[in-house]
Parts: sequence; C-alpha cells; structure tokens
Amino acid sequence: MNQKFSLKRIGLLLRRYFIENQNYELYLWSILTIVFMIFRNGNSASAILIVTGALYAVRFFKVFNFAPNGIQYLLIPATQLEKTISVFLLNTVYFILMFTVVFSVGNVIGNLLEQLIFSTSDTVALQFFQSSKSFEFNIQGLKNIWISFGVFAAIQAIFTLGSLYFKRNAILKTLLSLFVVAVALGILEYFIFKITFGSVTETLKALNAGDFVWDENIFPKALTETWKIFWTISGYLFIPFCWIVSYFRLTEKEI
Amino acid sequence: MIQIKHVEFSYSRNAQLFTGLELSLSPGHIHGILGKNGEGKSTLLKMISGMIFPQKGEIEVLGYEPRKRQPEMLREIFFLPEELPPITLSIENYEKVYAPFYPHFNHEQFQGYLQEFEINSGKSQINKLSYGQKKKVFMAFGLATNTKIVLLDEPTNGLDIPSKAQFRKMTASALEEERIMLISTHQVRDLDSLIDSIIIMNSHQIVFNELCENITEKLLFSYGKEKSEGEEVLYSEENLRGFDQVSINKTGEESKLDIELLFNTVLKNHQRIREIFSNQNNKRF
Repeated sequence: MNQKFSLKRIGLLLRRYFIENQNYELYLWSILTIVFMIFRNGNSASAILIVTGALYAVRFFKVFNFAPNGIQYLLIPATQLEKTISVFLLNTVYFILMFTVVFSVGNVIGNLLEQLIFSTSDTVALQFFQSSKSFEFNIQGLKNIWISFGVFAAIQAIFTLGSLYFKRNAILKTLLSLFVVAVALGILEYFIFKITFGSVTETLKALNAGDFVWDENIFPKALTETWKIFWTISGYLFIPFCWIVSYFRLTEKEI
Repeated sequence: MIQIKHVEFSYSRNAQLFTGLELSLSPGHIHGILGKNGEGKSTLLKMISGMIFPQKGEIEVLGYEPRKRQPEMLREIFFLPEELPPITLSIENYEKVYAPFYPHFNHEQFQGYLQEFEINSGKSQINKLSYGQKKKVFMAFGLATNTKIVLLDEPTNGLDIPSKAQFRKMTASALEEERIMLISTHQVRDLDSLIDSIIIMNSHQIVFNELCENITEKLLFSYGKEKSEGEEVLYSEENLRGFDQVSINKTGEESKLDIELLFNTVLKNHQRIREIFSNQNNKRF
C-alpha cells in the first residue's frame, strides 16, 4: 500500500463520512428539494447555494471543537493530504453535484405540482446559476457557470480554512475575518489612490467599479491589462491557496 | 518500541511541563504510568500518538516520528482518551467504518470482547450507551485492532467493579510479544496484578521505571502490627489493621507488590529508591 497517497484510504474516508452522516445528508437534501419546489429561480438558488455551502463546509473541521472528536479524527490512519482531499471532494465536488440534482428534482416536482394545482404552463427552469430563464448552452453560458462555480468553490475553501482556524463559531469568525481583511484592503486602497492620484472619488469613478473598463485618460492601457491578468490569476490561485493552507494547518494541528 | 529523548514541552510560556523527559518502552509488557493529577500522564500519551508535538527533543514510535502522523504508524496505534468522542453510530456501523483502516483488525476477537463485556446488541447506538459501556465498546475495538501500541488513558474510570476485573482479564489476554500497552491512571489499585512494568511520574519527570519482578526483588512489601524501625524501612503507612510498609529486600524474600504503597514510597523517598535501583544491571532510567 502506498504510504503517501492511497485512493483506497480516500475511499474509506468518504465511506466513513457517508455512514456517519447519513441522517444529516438525508435531511439536508430532502429539505433543499422542498425548498426548490417552492423557490424555483436562479437567484434564490445561488443565494441558497452560497449559504448552505458555507454551512456545509464549516462542519468538516468542527471535530476539533471537542478534543476527543479531534483525537479520533487525527488518529484515523490516513495522511493529512488524503484527509484534505476527501474534505475537498465532499464539500466542493459532491456538494455542487448534489445541489444541482436536488435543484433540478425540486424544480421538476414543483413545476408539475403547480401545473396540476393551478393549471399553469410554465417551463421548468433547470439552471440555478442563471437568473434568466433564457439560458442557452453556449460559451457565455458556460463561462457564467464557471464563474459562479468559482465563487462557490472560493467560499467553500475560505470557510473550510476558517473552520480549521477557529474552534468555535467558525462561520461568524470567518465572516468577521473577511470583513476585517476587506476593511484593511479598503484602507490600503484609499491611501494608494490618495498618494498616487490625489482624489479617491475621481479614481474610483475612473475605475468604473470592478469591470476593468478603466478611463484611459487616467490609467494607461497596459496597466489595465496587467491588472486584469493579475486579478484573473489571483482568482484562480486563491482556491488552491486556501486548500494548501488548510492542508498545512491540518498537518500542524495539535489537540 | 517507544523512545523519548530530552523532550521539552509546555502548554504556555510560563508553565513548563516537561524538561528533559526521557523514557524507553519495550514491547511485550503492560506498562502502567502512575502519577498525581496534572503530572502530564495524558500529555505523554498524546505526544506518543502524535496529537501534540514536543517543543524540543525526539520521540520515536516504532521507528516513526509521531508528529508526522503517517498512516503506517497510525494503523499500529490505538489510543483511548479519558473523555470519549460522541459517536452517533451503532456498534456494527462503527466497526464497518473504522475497522478497514486497521489491517490486523479481527472481527471474531471484537465480538468475543463485546461478549466478555456483556454488550449484546451490535445494533445499539454507541451514544445511547452509558459511559462505562461506551468505554467497553472502544476498549473491545482497540484490543481487536491488534495494533502494536495500545494507549489507554484512565481506562478504568467509569467502570463498575466487575467490569474492572473483566478489563484486567481482557487486557492481560491481549498482550503479545510485539505489543506495547501503556496505561495511564491515578487509580493505582485498578492496575493491580495487570501491569508488569511501573512508571511513576512526579514533578513532571519520570522518577521511576521498573519491571515488577525487579521491584519485588529489591523491595519488600510487608504488614505488621507494630511499626518497624530501621534504615531499611523506606515507607510505612498506618491502617486499621496495623502498618503496611516497604523496606529494602535484603533477604531475597518474596512479597506481593502493592502498587499504591510503591507509589507513595517513590514519592516520599525518591532519592533512596533511585539509589537502590541504580545498582542493578538492567537499569531502565
């Protein structure tokens, strides 16, 4: 057996999760199916996805809230990498798949019931990433899905990391940390604009929010392009960065 | 084999727990760690299992560094903490989930231990069992994993009197040549006739580490109506019947080891005990 990485051990970790949490899983997905029978538009689905996803993510390292649980988890004969991967698979890949299935099933049932009870003839909206019902399977549509998935995956990664750092009230503390980071970045941004361009209001106006449609009279095109690339790369690196930090945090975890 | 060399550890900057801790444990024995509350017995077990890391020094368990928590080491360690995790699974499902991680786990053995402990239904939810019963389930599982190292932290806490006897019987029967069993307790009487090696901690140090056969060879445990005086008497304790005492065994007389008396003797007369045992060839600390 490979001592560094074993798919069999990952399989056992996943099996452990499903057997230990079968009731939780059953309740969660049943409740969400009912919710999606009622709320059948993409906007509510996206909001529910983010909230339930975050709640789902922080559960994984809740074991460290109570020492005997933490000891039991750390003593499971699997590497910390395998444990991190199993958590990633569950709270990102499995969650989004189940969410899609449950959203679709809820929508179909909800729609059928509505047709039966109220004799309506609405079409079924089977895309929770799109707020418009006119979603088409094209490059732009896929790009939107990819971005939405990215946002979800980033939130999952942040909340997983938060649950490893904070023993209690991980959700609240993670949100608070995000707020603190945002305020700190805002202050930094304020001073950079003030020192570099003189006026913060004018600079923000020229930046045209976050759409990278910057005023070329103030910002050279090269800067806009560089900034755009920087943000794209940062966005892609942010998720693996959070997971790598989570892995090291788990490796160094003491109880 | 467990080797602890020059280990330093503290939970906070101001309170050093271990300084230069040394310990060597060989397989084929049931080692009992005795010590007052707060001596660091549980911390020592956690360090051996890789749950906490020493700030300085080295720990080697079966040739592995515990802090790395490698699967090949973890599958050879079973650690039963004093406080038990709340498990929402049935006994049957618990076995289904955790047994595959331990390559030497034996289902028949597990069932046998459960029967011995009079825990009948595998379908019982572990969480719904009493503390003592829960402990028995974990102990039965731990022994059935057939790991090379078994660490038990205060295993007899919460067990009723018959269960304590069953525990001693089962633990003794589970000892094998390649297995190290390390039991930490402050209830010394519970380990009577179970352990064959005694480690005593005092002031966060290992002050005594001897095999039981060496102890009775060097020390004499006796009872008398009158208190004996003399240089060879190391410790004396008055009770309703008279006096229990520990003295230097000069005549090679055989006596029954009284762990509680030994513990008190070591704490009261630590220096002399050290001198007595440092003369023997198989010195262990």
